[in-house]
Amino acid sequence: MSNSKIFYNKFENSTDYQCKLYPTKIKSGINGTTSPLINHLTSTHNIKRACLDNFQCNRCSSIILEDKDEKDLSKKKLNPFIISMNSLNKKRQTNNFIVKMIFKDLQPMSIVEDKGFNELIKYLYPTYNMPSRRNIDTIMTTFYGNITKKIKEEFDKASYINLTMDYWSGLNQNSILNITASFLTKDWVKKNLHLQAIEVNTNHTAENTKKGLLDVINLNNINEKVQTIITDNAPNVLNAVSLAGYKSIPDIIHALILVLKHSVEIPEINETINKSRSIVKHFKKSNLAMQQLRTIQVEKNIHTNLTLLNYSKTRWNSIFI
Amino acid sequence: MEFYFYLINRLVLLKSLVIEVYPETNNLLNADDWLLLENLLLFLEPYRQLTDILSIDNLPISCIIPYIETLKKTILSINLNLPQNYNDLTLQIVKENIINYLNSYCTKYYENNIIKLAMMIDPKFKLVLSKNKTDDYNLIKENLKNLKKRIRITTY
Repeated sequence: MSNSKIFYNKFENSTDYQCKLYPTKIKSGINGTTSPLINHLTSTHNIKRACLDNFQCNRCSSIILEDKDEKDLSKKKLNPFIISMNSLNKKRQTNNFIVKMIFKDLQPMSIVEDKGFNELIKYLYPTYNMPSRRNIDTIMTTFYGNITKKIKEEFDKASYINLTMDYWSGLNQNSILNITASFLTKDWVKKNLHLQAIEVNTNHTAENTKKGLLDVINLNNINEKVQTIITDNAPNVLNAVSLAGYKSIPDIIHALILVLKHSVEIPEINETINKSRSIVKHFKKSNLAMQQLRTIQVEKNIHTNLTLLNYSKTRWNSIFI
Repeated sequence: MEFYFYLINRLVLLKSLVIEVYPETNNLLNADDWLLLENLLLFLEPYRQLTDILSIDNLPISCIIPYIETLKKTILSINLNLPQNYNDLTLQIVKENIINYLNSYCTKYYENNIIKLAMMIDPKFKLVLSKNKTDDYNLIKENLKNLKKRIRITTY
């Protein structure tokens, strides 16, 4: 405990100590031991226990060096130290909140460079320095590690797990195998977890899909807990699930959509719908026609809040329905 | 073939106004075409409603078979608004197609034991939709036995 002496003075006619960082009297332990003083230094002043033996971190050693210059350290000198400790925690928390926001709101990492966002943060927290994209990347990896740990803990508590699996294609034409899990906790609360989005560069064969699925299941160690896997009606995916040895439930909405798609494949209907599309297209192209339609709607008070609609490709449901 | 419920729905609702603003519409769509579109909506409306219901977050799988049955009954009960001299059979074909494809595509749900069991132990449905009641009763019994073996009895 060589360094700990720097932090206290011993009273001459008593066994008590006085803390240098804060003028308080601390009683010694039984047989004059320094353990109460060490507890005070570690808990109140956040000085690491290891630093009392050897200087191991810059923060503690800087306090000690400051302390050497002036014997009586006033309350004023201590305050900046406490504030800096608090602000350090706050900065870490703010970093975590920004990473959380990127995750939850599906924001790009470049948001930390956005001018408006930086101005907002500066207004709310003037002393905060926004981390760079690289720093956000490292914070994100630690954050990801924490989340995977939490997911494993959640899985340990669950008895039966149901998975959902589907292929998606991104804007860059890269295909992604997305796997989510849902289960009931012991308190009968339904939980949904997003497990993984694997980029699949090979053909979407049943064998490759099975490999991706089993990788995720083995990684989370839930082989025996998985009961069913919900998939679309694609034969490769259905085969992959049966090859992996699990039961599958095909997506009901997808099946209904397929029924409708095949039911109305009649030339007369195709022709009529193409004509209807061309009428809607005319209104979508011509602002004047649309404006005329709106004014007549208001004049005659017929469905004033409705406009003509074309299908939108981004809404999966509306393509068929 | 891509189908457009909202496109047809809005076009039919705003029919008179669209014709007024864009007279070319009369050349593109004749009276028979409008009839076809209006009657097609009768088939699509229950579909739209069902997909909205099935898209909710916490839908139990016990509802799948009852919903398919309800859709079948709704489609079969649709009365087409057609004049007496209308001879085109397109809409009748659509109706038959939907029922036939529903039967062929949805057999996997009727044969899936998990979905079947979920429906039968749901107090809302029980064995009402069961086709072979003795077989289904035995299926429940067997699965209950297996469940008893698997469930660990916990004391709180």
